[in-house]
Amino acid sequence: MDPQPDTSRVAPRDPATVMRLARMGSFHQSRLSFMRVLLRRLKAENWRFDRPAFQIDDSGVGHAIYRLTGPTRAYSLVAFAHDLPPEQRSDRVIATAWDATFALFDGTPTKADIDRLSRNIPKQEAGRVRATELSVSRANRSVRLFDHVIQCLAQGKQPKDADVDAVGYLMRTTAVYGSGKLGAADRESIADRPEFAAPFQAEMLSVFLIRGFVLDLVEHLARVKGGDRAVALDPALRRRFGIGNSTGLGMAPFLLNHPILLNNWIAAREIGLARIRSLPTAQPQNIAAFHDIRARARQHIARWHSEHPVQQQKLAALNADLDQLDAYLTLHDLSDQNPWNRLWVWAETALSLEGQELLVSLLFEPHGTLVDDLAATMSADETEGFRIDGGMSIARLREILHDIYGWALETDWAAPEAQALVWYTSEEKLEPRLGNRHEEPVALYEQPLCPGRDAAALYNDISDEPGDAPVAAVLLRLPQHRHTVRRAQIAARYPYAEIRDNTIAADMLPIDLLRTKLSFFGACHFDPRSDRWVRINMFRNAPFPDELETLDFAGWTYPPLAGSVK
Amino acid sequence: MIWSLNEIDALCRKAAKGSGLSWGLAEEAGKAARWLAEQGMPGPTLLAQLLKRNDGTPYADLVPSEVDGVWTSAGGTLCPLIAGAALCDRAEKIANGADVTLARTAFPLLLAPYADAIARPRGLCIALTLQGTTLTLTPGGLVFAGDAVALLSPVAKTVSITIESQPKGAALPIRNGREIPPEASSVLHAFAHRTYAPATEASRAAGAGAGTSDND
Repeated sequence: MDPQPDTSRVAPRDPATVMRLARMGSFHQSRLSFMRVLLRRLKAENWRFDRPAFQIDDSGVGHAIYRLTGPTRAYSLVAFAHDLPPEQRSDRVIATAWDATFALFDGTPTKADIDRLSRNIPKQEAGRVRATELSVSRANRSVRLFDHVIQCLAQGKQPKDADVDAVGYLMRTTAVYGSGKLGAADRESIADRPEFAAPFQAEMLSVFLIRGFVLDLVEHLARVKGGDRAVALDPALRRRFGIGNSTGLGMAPFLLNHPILLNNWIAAREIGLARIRSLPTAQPQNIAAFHDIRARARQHIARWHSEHPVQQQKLAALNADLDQLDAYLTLHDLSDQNPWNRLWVWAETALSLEGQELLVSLLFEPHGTLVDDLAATMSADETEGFRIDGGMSIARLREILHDIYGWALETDWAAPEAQALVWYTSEEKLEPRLGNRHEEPVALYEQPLCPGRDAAALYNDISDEPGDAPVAAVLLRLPQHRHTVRRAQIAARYPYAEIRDNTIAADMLPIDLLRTKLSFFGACHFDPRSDRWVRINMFRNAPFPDELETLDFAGWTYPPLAGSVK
Repeated sequence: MIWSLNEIDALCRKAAKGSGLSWGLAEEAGKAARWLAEQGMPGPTLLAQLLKRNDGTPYADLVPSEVDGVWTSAGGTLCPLIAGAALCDRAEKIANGADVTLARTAFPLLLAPYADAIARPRGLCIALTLQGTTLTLTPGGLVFAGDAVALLSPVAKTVSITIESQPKGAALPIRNGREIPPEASSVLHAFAHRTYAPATEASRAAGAGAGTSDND
């Protein structure tokens, strides 16, 4: 039995430390990531996989159904494969055609459902779905790898590891819609199902099944091409393929628009870290497991490629961090008192942000019994923070503004670089965009996505109010601050709800917002294509749906060590 | 067309902002329309009509002020979104028994979601009485007594808001509140459209930050 952590020893980290964009943009997937939570549940509950349809013709066009059946319900991915001319292949959310399109169906679809979906899903946003659909998504082929793998398999050969690792996926999704989008089921209507208790489980389930479909599709097309000579992928190599994803500004406002959810994600992670740091001693088997995962993490990082200079620098620092960590562990065998906390305190000054945040994930791996239960705390009902406490005094509101937005009260908002950017929605694309306040006429259309600037303005506008005045009276006069008062009151109750950085500064990197969210999904191998666009890999090294039962896949994100038997 | 509640909330929020309300009030307008739709009532349609009616009316003409226990507005007709938010901000007083009377109020049914937000978390029943009809928000749902059509009226001379210990009446007739008639949805879309920035060469070029081709 593990020693119990004495959580009075180490408190969760200060929000002022954690909630900085540079740090959040260095988060890595962990045991608490939603893909990991999903696969643990599928395994623990013995979900069964089958493939009721695979009607794909020799040109790669048709539909397939991939179904997982759990204790009380079944879910079916309905996949449509298309023949897409290369000139129509676009990552952008505004594309109108894709190599494959998907719906996650609640239950098992009838023929009438398939007919209806076949008229709507290939059109994505231009189509319409119903509450029987939980997610709508689409994917494009990796031109580099898709045809190459078909070619190899058709000739009876396996593709080379290095070619697989250079891309890491055969298709990348360009949008995965859930929660009420395009007419699909609202989150509230399925949130009471145990399998959807953790966030984004339907979306992650969808992507997990998409990956299985895409690998089957490639092997099918290789058989069409190579006939008897064709071979299937070697199972271990097959698992090295994930599903790619390409994401831009559209996802960036999400964390700002869901403050309680953000709090719950970060709080779970911080509580997990504090529990491990509070352990008085380390169990030998946990030390061994930590060394194992550290070695596997090295391989994981070695397969992480990026051409973006910022990420290249971060990767160089991360590799140096891993060397430092090795050196620390040759000097410290973790047999002393509070070994995990000693390691952590050392890391806070010795490692880069990438390295520190990777260490959080590595510390979680041997400590599932201390961490996994926290997944159940990561959903949120944003309506809990919606009502404003109008009886609060202005004096108390000022206190909150000082406490949460102290950095913003000290910022010179008149400086051009402090308000260089404007978040707005474009008329043409109806998607979030970032414009330059000083060069484009977009300020009139600004979305409320800069809590710091708005908190400073609120603070300024209430400076003459008597401290005992109720917030209600002031809001009647100053309705423009209603949004910010709501946020401030939420942030006072949920310590990790608010990002402590300027989200409209000239040097703000939207990819930090994207990575934060994507790391909680369980994405890996962040590869920024610009400061506002990132490619990632999902479910790489994971088991396939038909392997859930037979495979032991603990810590699946980190590739198995050579020679180890899985 | 059947809308998801998520879509109704988002469109109504944007429409309310486009009509000139602040983001904070618009967020509550979105939630109000969504709540009514969820109860089977035409929240989005009423909101569309209200936004048309108040389009161009300055906030100062709509904001309530209290005179001798009655809320009135300089423009003569209260906006249920602004008055509703103000009621919620005074939830404790109302829950403690301070009755409120609103003078002439547009689309009074839009007050119901705000009254529900006061009543439900406190386990109270709150009655909205207008033109002889009473709609009571109870922790178990809605009941009404009187003429259901009055609830949909574009204006009420007065609306009284009281704590009710024994609500009387029948359940409301249920219809599909998620069905938005095309006229209403086009009004909401037109208001929402005002929140979108016209494209510029710079915005077209920058896009969401991606390249244009996915062929790699």
